[in-house]
Amino acid sequence: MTTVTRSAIAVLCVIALVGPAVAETPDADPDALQILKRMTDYMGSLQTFSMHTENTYEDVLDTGQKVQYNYASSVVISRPDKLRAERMDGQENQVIVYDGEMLSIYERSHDLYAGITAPDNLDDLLHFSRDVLDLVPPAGDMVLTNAYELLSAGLTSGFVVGKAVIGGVICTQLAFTTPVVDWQIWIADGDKPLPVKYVLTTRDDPAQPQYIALISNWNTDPLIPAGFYEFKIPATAMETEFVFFDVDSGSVE
Amino acid sequence: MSKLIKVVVIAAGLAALFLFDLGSLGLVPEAEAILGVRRRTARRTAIIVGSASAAQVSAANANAAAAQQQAADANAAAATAQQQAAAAQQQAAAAQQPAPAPTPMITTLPTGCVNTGQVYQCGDVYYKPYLQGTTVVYAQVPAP
Repeated sequence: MTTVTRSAIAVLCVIALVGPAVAETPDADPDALQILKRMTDYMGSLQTFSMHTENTYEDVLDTGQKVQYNYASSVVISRPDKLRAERMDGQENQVIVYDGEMLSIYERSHDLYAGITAPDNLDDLLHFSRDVLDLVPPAGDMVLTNAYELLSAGLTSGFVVGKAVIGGVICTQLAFTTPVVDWQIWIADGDKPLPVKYVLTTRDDPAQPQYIALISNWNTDPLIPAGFYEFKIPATAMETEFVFFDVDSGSVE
Repeated sequence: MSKLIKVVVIAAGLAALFLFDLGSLGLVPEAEAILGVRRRTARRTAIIVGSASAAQVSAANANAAAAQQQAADANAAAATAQQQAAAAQQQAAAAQQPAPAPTPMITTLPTGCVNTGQVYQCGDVYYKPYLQGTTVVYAQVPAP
């Protein structure tokens, strides 16, 4: 092999290794990415934590009209495989428990419960819940251990909007775009860079529906009582099952 | 350069190309920030249709059998989609898949139903509740 040939192969391999990375490097302000990564690194370092979320999401009716819905949830998480949440939306009032093996829900308003064998770790559980059960964990993006990798994937832009105060917390607002979704996040300043607000705007729908989460009552070292992650079946509750949800058809199932 | 080194270098280049394409193929789990809120939008639109149908039935004070039939009509398209969804899910099934729903679903029971502890009895028609995400939905089942 000649020196020229060897050099050509080397250059091609360098292009193969570096080229796609350069092409996918987001046109985002490094400061914004650095603040985002500081938050995800901090979140990833927390072993047990709890938070309260107030969530608003918009639906687009067949007429094009947008309607807002709201729900609140309080979530306690112990990595790598425990979660307990309470969710209320005015019609349903639910306790959701994940013990590392089973995901169970008790629906208080209807006095019924369902359980299903779940993945053995929190990351896979969050994907499973969203993709298979249509249980969308509020602010679940930030809980994933590879949150930065997922959040920064496919970014087309990003910048620091500036300072804001959310729920009395001084924070820094970041704004990012992807081909389909614009999203914003407000991250607390100081030594606990926790997310306090999260907004998604879906741009490929003309109505551009939004999801908004306000995240408060952070506790990065909560006391977990014995049996907290055990699902206890209420004596009177009717047993039921989860059913499929299909993303593409959007069908009632 | 030895043949071994050449092979390793070329293989590394090809592997890098392939790996960087995985994300665009949708093989990597995505964040909500990428997916957006379309999922919930589609679902809620369908549920609104189902609820309206059940409300009309209640307003007319129809009997339970008629209510079930209207609900079934209203959800016929959803049922077809559901069967397709179930088939698609089964193809991708792993160990952890919820059961497919047995019949068309409604989101509101007719008036006057009684909780038997296992199902809801609505006249001569019986409904079993299910969880679609966090939403309670109902399907007609045979008499227990």
